[in-house]
Amino acid sequence: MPTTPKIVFYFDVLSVFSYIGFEFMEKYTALWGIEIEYRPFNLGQVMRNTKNMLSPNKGPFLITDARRTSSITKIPFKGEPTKFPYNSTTALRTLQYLKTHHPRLMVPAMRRLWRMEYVERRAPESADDIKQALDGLVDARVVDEAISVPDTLEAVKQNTADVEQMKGFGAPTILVYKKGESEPQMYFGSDRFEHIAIYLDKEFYPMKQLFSAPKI
Amino acid sequence: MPTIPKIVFYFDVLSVFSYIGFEFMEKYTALWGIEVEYRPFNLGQVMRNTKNMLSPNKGPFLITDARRTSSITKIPFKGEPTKFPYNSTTALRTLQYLKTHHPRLMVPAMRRLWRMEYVERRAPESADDIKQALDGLVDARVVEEAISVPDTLEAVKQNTADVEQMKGFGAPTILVYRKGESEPQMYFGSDRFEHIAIYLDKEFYPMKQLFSAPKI
Repeated sequence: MPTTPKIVFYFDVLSVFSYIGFEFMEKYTALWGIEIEYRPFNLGQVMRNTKNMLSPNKGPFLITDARRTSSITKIPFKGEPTKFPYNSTTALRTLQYLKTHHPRLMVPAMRRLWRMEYVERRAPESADDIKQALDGLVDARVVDEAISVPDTLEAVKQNTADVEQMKGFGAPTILVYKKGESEPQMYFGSDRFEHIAIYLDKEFYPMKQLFSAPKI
Repeated sequence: MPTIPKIVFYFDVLSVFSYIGFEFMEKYTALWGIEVEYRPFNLGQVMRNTKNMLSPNKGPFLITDARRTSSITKIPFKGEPTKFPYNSTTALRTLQYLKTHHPRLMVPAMRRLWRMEYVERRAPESADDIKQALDGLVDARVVEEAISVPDTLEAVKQNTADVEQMKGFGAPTILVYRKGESEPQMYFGSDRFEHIAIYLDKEFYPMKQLFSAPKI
């Protein structure tokens, strides 16, 4: 049982609502003073295994929704990557490696990959793509190491199995642990922060305020 | 072009987020002083035609999500109806008939049907179910009339075709018309009221405040 509130945030790099949810989560982590753990997982596999197929009408709508959120919050967003879907495994393994070996670089690296993906509109798919996205932040050899060691792949597989086991179906999947409760609450999506705030007895901010500067 | 802001709210009686969204919409209609038009449509048909299938993991999760929203807002909710899915056509036609013949009864009738469905957990499927749900509000003969006149069925079909034509895929589907814009913005779900408030330059309230009494 945790002694302080803790959030476990399961995400995939190829998930636009993981990106948006991450930017909300980072604001709240600072405001609420809570511990947050980011876990990369393979959304494509979970969607296939849980028969969660995206209706052809829904995909374009979600991009419109993301665009509107970007316009309100100023989270940078120009559109989907020109190659989509793509294989995010290399990106996921790289982030997993940073998590265990260079933890303070994980969050800035996540942001770099998402900026490449949704601002440059370029899928961070290959090791070269990722090295370019992380240039100046992470050495290229770190990326090579990340995709050569088996435990990064094992960890991503385990995270993916976690999401399936908890009967998740999408990204982000957010587990919220409260003081005194042994089981977490599970939330889905980038739009349940008021629920989470109420559960943790923390303050909720409308997105316009959350993303305005200076902070309250 | 409408002279005031206007919202067109497409819903199905068998959609829990239509129920929840309706209760949010009714609060905002009063607070914002805007015109809302409710249009009943056949969600089952739209989901089939747009290949929007609900993952087996997602259904139970959505009920958990609804339950948490109910707990925060006090929107009455005990669970899904024991018979689900069911054929909502009779309920939709009844509401459509009230809309054109007894417009001030449409909203209270919607609420009655949803209370039967989500508090009694009884599907408002047959004419008898619906007469019972609307007892004291709407005469039984009105329900009979609603399901005998062809134009109620035509109107529900037209609303359903509207949602498909705008590339909708779920319920509620909410069109928002703003002064000076000929085309509406389309939103989906019961959780985009901050987006809508910003679009209409109206005030957004976190759900805890929106549903607390007395109103601000």
